[in-house]
Amino acid sequence: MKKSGLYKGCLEPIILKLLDDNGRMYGYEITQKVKGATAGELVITEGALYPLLHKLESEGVLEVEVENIGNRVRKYYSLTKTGKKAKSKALTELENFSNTLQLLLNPKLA
Amino acid sequence: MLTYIQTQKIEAWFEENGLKYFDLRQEYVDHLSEAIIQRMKCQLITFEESFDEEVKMFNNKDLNLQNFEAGLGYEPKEEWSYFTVSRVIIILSLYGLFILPGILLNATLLIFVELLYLSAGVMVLFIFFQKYKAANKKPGRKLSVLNMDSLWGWIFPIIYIVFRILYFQGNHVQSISEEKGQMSFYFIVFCLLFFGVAFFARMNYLNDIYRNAKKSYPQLFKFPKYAE
Repeated sequence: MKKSGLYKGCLEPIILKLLDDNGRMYGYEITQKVKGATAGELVITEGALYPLLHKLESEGVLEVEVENIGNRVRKYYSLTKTGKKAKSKALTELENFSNTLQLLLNPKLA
Repeated sequence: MLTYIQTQKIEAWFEENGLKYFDLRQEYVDHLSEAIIQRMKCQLITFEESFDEEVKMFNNKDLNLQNFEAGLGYEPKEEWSYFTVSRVIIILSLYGLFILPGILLNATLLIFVELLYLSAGVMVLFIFFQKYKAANKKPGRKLSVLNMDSLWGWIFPIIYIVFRILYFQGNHVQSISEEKGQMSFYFIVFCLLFFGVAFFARMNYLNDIYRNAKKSYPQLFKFPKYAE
């Protein structure tokens, strides 16, 4: 991620949420979706994305489908049942984290 | 849509830059291909121009990190799993079969034992070829002599010839220094046998990985370069 190290810990919930919303996605698609949705504010590099996708796949959070696209293959990632639970948990954690930050940064609003 | 040659160029670039894992490389090839296509569409430029621009986005640090992470699951002990107790006993028995005649028999009897070994070797080869023929009705030109199945066809004669050479060498050394020469000869035979079996064990291990990968990701193996 180029823009800020603060996003680093949020990458997993972001990917899980995206996959939950879109069904199945491939690596490049994920990077472009994030870039588009944040108007270029958050850029996920391949070096950050793929290790995380592979880690989640090995943990059984994601499942993979491989398809032929012309002269190459494409790996599509989607959430497993465990993944859906993990997504809810990760989003709740992120929300709690955000609320805690609000308490610290902007006590009046919180 | 990129051509086959263009896709191969992308893969070759990743290979040259150290991305050694096949499945990981395939994923990166797709990623870069898609990025190149998008750039070609947006900027109306050629593949070569787009390729040169896009590869600048990748740095060696990232690729090395990917390699490192992909290799974390590697367990060297698995490569030794071939050496079960029964196989170790078989290897030691084979070693004994090679060595004991040299210790126990005189020169005349030794010739008969060698003839017996040679006949057994020919028989093993014959059985192998029969099985190979039955399994591969029309092997065609594509079959490599280096693949696992055909390996037995040429490895045994080589082992036998090497054994013969070493035997004469051993005798020669023996004539110089009786005990020392014999020991070094037996040690060479043992090493030869051990490394031969270790080589097969590794081939077997790699073959297993290949088969499992093919079973898990059949789509990856549909391209001419990787098709059997």
